[in-house]
Formats: sequence, structure tokens, C-alpha cells
Amino acid sequence: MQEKKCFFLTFFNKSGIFIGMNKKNADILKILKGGYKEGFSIDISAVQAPKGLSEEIVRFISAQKNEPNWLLDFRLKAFRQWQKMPEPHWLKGEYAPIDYQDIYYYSAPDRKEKPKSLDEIDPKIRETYDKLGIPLKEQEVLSGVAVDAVFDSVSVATTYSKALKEKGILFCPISEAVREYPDLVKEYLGSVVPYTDNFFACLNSAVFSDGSFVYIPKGVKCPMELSSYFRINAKNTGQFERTLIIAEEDSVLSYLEGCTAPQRDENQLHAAIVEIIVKDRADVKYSTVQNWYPGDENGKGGIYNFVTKRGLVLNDAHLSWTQVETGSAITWKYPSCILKGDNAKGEFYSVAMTNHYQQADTGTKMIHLGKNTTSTIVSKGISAGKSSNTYRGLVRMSGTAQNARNISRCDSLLIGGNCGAHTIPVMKNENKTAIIEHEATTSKISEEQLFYAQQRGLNKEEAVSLIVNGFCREVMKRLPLEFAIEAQKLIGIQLEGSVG
Amino acid sequence: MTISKLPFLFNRQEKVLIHHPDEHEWQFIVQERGELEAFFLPINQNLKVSVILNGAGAKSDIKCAYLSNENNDLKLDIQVLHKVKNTTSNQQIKGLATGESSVLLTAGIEIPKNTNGCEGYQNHRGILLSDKAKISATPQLEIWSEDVVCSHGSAVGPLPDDELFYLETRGLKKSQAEKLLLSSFFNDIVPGEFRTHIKEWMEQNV
Amino acid sequence: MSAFLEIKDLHAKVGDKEILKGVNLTIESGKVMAIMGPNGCGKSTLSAVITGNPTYQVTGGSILFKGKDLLKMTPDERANAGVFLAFQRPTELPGVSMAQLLKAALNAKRTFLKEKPLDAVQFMKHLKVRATALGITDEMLKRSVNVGFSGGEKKRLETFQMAVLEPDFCILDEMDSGLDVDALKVVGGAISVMREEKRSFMIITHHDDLLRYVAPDKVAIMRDGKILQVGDKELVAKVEEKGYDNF
Repeated sequence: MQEKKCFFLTFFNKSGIFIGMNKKNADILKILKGGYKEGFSIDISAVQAPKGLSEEIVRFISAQKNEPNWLLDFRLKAFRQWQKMPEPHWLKGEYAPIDYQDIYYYSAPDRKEKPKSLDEIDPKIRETYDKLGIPLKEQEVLSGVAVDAVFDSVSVATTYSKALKEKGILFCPISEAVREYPDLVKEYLGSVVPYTDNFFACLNSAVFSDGSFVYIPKGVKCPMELSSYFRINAKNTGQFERTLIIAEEDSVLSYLEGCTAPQRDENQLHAAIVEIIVKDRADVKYSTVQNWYPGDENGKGGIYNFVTKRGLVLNDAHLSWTQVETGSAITWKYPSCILKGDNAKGEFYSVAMTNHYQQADTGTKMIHLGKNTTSTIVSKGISAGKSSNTYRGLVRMSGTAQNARNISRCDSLLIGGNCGAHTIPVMKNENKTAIIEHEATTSKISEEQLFYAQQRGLNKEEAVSLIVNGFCREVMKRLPLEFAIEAQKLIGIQLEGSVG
Repeated sequence: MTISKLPFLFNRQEKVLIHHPDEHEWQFIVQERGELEAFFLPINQNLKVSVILNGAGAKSDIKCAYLSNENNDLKLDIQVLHKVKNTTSNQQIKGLATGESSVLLTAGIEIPKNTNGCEGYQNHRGILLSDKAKISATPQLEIWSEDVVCSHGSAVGPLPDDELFYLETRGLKKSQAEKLLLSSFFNDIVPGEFRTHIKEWMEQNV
Repeated sequence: MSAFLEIKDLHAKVGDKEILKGVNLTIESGKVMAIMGPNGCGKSTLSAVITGNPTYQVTGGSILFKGKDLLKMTPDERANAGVFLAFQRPTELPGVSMAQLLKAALNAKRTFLKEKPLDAVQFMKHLKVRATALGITDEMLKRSVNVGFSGGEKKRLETFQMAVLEPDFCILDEMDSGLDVDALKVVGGAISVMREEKRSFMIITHHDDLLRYVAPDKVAIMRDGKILQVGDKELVAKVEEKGYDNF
């Protein structure tokens, strides 16, 4: 029997109202008892570039996608730069060296043309989505969610772009945007995260496979939450998504990103870039629930997740990052805001949960350049098993950031005596009118709290899960409701077996 | 106590007050039930303090007041290692930066594996007094043990508006209010015998 | 037939300090037992030991609840068997709302009893009726458990949880400390409503405030870790008049 699973998919009707989930929650829990069962793979004869990375491979990728010369040049410049860069190792964690020549940088479902409708999609891929609980056909009928799903390295389906198009909103795979809206892509690609930014961003710039492109015109409020669903599938295929979001003046957007991955023994490299441009008075909310395969109880396998996410926030604009990170063997991720405009506002709300041998090094950067800019950071770290969980952040008040204000709060919770919780905030104040405030705590769940919940009839595991979810509530409540419910379950599932 | 060679061993309750223009590096090892209380006053000078809590019941209380002006570059590094269980540490750091000076503060608490029952606290408050002064603070908690209570707080900015306003409503000019607040800024951490140093510095730089 | 609750020669300590020094006590089904004693006599410890608080180590004796050996059970097993404690100082659970806690607790109990979990509508109905009766507002249900409430509000919320969970054996630890007359009436009223054949109460107190609103069937006087005397409710007046020194 096929098991349908859907963790993070949300269904909305066309007016943006949530209408339900396609999976009974209880079943999800049942299925997941006893370990991560998301993993499965499917045999698709992929068009693949040979293993390894060279200028030829970069050219091959670009040619496969029929890219214009300017984009090939962009990739080549990045590749040449990348060759000169050392791999950074400052994250708090250890992992076996990555052999960049032992990775496939391109694979695609065996198709000559992109499908024009859902019916044209490879039945095997459809089957994968069914297993994941995202039957696209059903989705189209049932819901108004516009899904840009990445399967391997090529987008296979985009739904509801048309409905969005009527509002002038563009939501499509970035490869399509390169063809259809080259001027927009050319203008903004690399404008927030230049290819020289860091080792992994540089790698992504050279070999990025596909990803989402969003453009919200001036004054438009996006009528639904846009959701992108990423998956890693083919063996040894590094995934290099590239997301570009442009919110014009006075526009409003809420974007959801959620991930699950098939079980694999080899470590899989993932180096994505998300670039967001938030123009004057625009408001963008970017929510992520990340649940990639974290490796088994012994630390074998799992995804390496090295992500660069950054937004440029102009006058009176607002960018809010919310993330719930429970997956991946290694997480290296600092969604950031460059508060360039006056009165710009940046927010970062994060839950990072690690278990077994997971290593998470995550946080944010808030770079205050404009006057009266404000930023808020709320980070909740939970460590269990033998994992290591680090909050690393930077708040910088530049000389031009008159009256800028930051408040940060980082709390860590330790479950069991074999894990680590670390807090490394960097505060740089170069403006005497600006204020940076940071507070952090590290503790365990108190005996009193456990006893109180147990006295009400909850067993120890339920009690811990309840208390941990309470610990995260401030962040969870920032997520759209059904996303939050799934995220809450995930925390419970992740805690299983970690309570002695 | 007299200052001799590094490191200093503490096995009883002891208080050290340090303002040595020539000495920048200090290392303390606190033995079982020893209590270290140390105060540092780096004025335009670097400081590197390392405390190892080496025996059960050991406690350390580090207080540091820093002052920087002109174009000085201060590097302050205060690290406390809870090497064994049931140890307690506290760090209170306060400072002022003016002129074109810059301060780089790293303050850390490390609690390794299997050291239950530790408590570590850290608090930093930095005030920028000029347009070109900079303070960069990195308070770090590195915790590998479950049964701990740790917290840190750090704030860098100007004098608080509400406090200034309160004094202004009492008839003080803004500059007077600032002076009054600054003159009492260090009171909770600076021992009496060092207040004159701070007063002198303020007279010249504020 | 076994008694409702039977405590025999119970000894318990915290750290190295022995607090219960041989407690013997029997409570019958459907009865209200008041435990009275001066501060530090061990009455709160008794409630902690009955409910399985891990801070206390039992060093001897037994507790049988409807024939079951409570000392062999985990705190949640005892709760699901029907033992409820209204805490003297309720613990804060930041971020966990009262509604969330009670839903989890009710469903844990229903699972234990092999009943189906309540759906959202049934649950809210069950909650609302009791909330209204006890003056618990929606806002109080949404707030974090015991965070930022006044002493009186916390006690009312403890009583509310008792009403929602409908346990067989209710232990109220110093419910009357810090309560004004109106709140005492609410708590007393709830107990009176809940009194029935299969349910017993143990009211721990050091004066007679709450006992003015709930007439106990029996009163036990506790001192220095032992039960000195068990009598009827006339003992309350004796305590109020002469203090504990005469026992």
C-alpha cells in the first residue's frame, strides 16, 4: 500500500483561505514512530552530467538549460572565483572532507521538453509526489496552492502561475524566468548575494540547478501564500537551488519553504541561495520548515546544508525570516537582513532542534545601515542526543544607522548530558545613538516542570514534548497555522527516544 | 595580595584588585571551595583573563571596567572554564568608549561534558560617547553539560533615554544628567580605591 | 475489600533530611479528609510522596490506592489512575497554554482508559462549562500555564484543572493560603459540587479558612512527620482555639 505523506504542504483556496490538509495527522505520527520513514527512492533514468566540477560541466549545465551568454558568463566567473576560494571551516562542528569532484552537479528527469500541464508529467515522478502526499492533480482541483516543486535539478511542474499572472505576479522556476523575464533576472541575480560572497554561495552561482522566481509588482498584495517544495532525490546529486524574490514598492508577500528528503547513506551536499529584494514599504515574510534527512542514530548519512539567505530591505520596508530547522546532518545557515533604507525593519525567528549526531550552526545577521532601522532576533535552540547546536549571529550598527535599535533573545535547552548548546552573538556598534541589546540563557527542563505535567497525566515523553513546544511557541506562532501544527509534531517526533 | 608569576592558585576566599598598566595577561586557577574575586581596570590597554574553576565548589567573580579614548584599540578577552562540577562564575563588564577608539570584547563561559551543577553568568554594558567610537562585543556560551544554569546579557548603546529624561524633569540640563549617570555608571562594580582613576579619566574625556 | 487510600508506616526524606517518620493514614471512598498541622510538619511532603515527586525519596512504608501500589508507579501513571494534586505553588510552563495542557492531559487519561480522544468541539464544550462556573476567562485559557497570574488566579486555575480532569482522589495542598473570601467560596463550591460516592478529597491546610466552606468528614493532625490523631470535624475548632501544641 502506498503511504501518502505531506508534512508542510498547505492548502488554500483561491482567495487565500486555508481549506485543509490532505493527510490525517494521526497517521503521520503513526508512520513516523520509530524513526525517519520519509526515505525512499525512485528509479528515473536521469540525464546526468558526469561526476565532478570543471568549466566544461558549468558549460554543460548552462547548455542543457539553453541559457543566454550573460548567464553562462556569470556562472563561469563564479566558477573561476570558487576555484580560488578555500572551504570555510569556522562552523562549530566536524564532518568528513567533501570531495567536490565526487558529486554530480546536474541531473534531470529524462525529458526533452518541459511539461505544459500536469498530465504530461512522468508517471514515476507523479508517483514520488503521491508518496510524499502531494498529488498535483488533486492539488489543482482541491486547492489554490501554487507549488513550484523541484525534482532533482529541474522544475517539473508549476501550478497556478496563471492565476497569479492576472495580478501581475510572476511565480515560476528561475530557469523559466531566465527565458521569459531576462531583464529582471539579469538586474537582480547576485545583487544581494554576489557570487564572491562566500565559498558555498560561489559554488551555487556556478552550478545552480533551479529554484523559484517571484516578482510582486508595485502595490500588489499576493492573494495566497506561495509555497515551494524542495526535494533531493537522485543519488549523489548535490542540490543547488537558487531563489530570487523581488517585492516592488508597497507589495506584500508571504512565502513558504518546506523540505523532506529520501533516506540515503551518502552525505548529500546542498548549497542554496535565497535572495530577496524588498523595496520601499514592501512587506515580505519568508517561512521555512526544514526536515531533511538528518542521518541515522549513529550519525551515518544525512544532508549537508550550507545555505546563504539574505534580503535587502529598503525604506520603510519589512523582511521577516521564520525558520524551524529540525533536519540535516549539518546546518550552516544565517538568513540575514541588510537594512539599507531608513526605517527598515528586519526580523529573525528561529527554532533549531538537533538530535543524535546532528550539528547545527545557525543564526542571523542584521546589518543596520539606514536611520531608525530596527531588528528583532528570537532564537530557540534545543539539543538532544549527541548533537551540537550553535546560535551564531551578527548585529552591526554602522555609523549611518542613527537611532537604530536591535533586540536579541537566544534561549537554549539541553536534553540529556551528551549534547552541546552554544551561543555566539557578535555585536558591533559604531553609532552612539544606536542600541544593541542581547540576552541569552541556557538551561535544561526543570524537574518541577516535568513533574507538574506528569502529575496531570502526561508521560515523560509527552511532558517533554509539551514543554519544548512551549519553549518554541514564540517562534511557532509566527508560522501560518497549519505549518505551525506540522512543525510542532515534528519537534515531538524529533524528541522521540531522547528522553531518558 | 602580591602579584607574582602566572598562574595564580586560589584555594581560599581571596580578592584581587588589578590595575597594572604593564601587565595584560592574567591566569587564575581556583581550587576546591576557593573563591576568586577579581577586579580589572584596563584604561586604553588590552586585557586577557583566563579563569579555570578547578575544584568542586570553586567560585569566581570577575569584574571589569574598561575605558578607551583617542584612537586606541582595545582588545579585551575574558574566559572562564568550569572544569569540574558544582562551580559558579560571574562576569560583570562595563565600559565607555570615546574619541575614535574601538573596543573588541570577547567574553566566554565554557562548561565541558560531565560537569553538572554549574552556574555561569555574564553581563556586559558598553556606552559609546562619541560619533566615531566603536564597541564590538562577543559574549560566548559554550555548554556541553545538561544540568547547568547559564545566562548572558549584553547591551551596547547610549545612556538610556528614560533615565536622562527622569533627571531632566528634576531640573538637570542634559549634559548634567549625562555626567551624573556616567559618574555612577561603574559604582556597582568598581571598588572604592579605584574610583579616582575613573574620575580622572572622565574629567579629561567626557 | 481494600480501602480507598491506605498509607502504612511511610518514611520519606529529601537529601539527608528525614521528613516523614512513619505516617499511617486511611481515607475512605467518598470522604473529605483534612490534614492539619503546623508549617514544616511534613504535610506537603505527604502530598508530594503520594503523587511521586522525584525530589523526595521514600525510605519505607507503603501507599495503596484502591488496592494498587502507588509507590511502584510513575507520576503520570498515578495521575491517570485518578490521583490529582492541586499544587501549593503551581509550576510555570512558559509557552504552554492551559488549553493545550488540559487537552494533552485529558487525552492521556482517555488513552489510559482505552477511550477515544475528545474531538475539538467536545473538548471545548467540556472546558467551557467548567471555566464559566469557576470564573476562568478565555484569555486565561490562552495564557501560559501559571505564568504571570496572581496567587489567587493560580489557585482557581488549579481547581479548574481538577474540575476538568475529574480525578477520583483530589489532594489540595494549602489551597487557602493567599486566597480572599470570594476565591475561597469558588474553590469550596467546586469541591462541594464534585463530592460524590467514588471521589475522595485530602485537604491540606494549617488553619480553618477553607474548612469553613467545606465540611470535612475527618480531620488528621500531623506533627513532626507523623499523624498524631484522627478525629471528626470538631478537631478543627480545637486547633483554632488551642493551636497545635496540645496534640
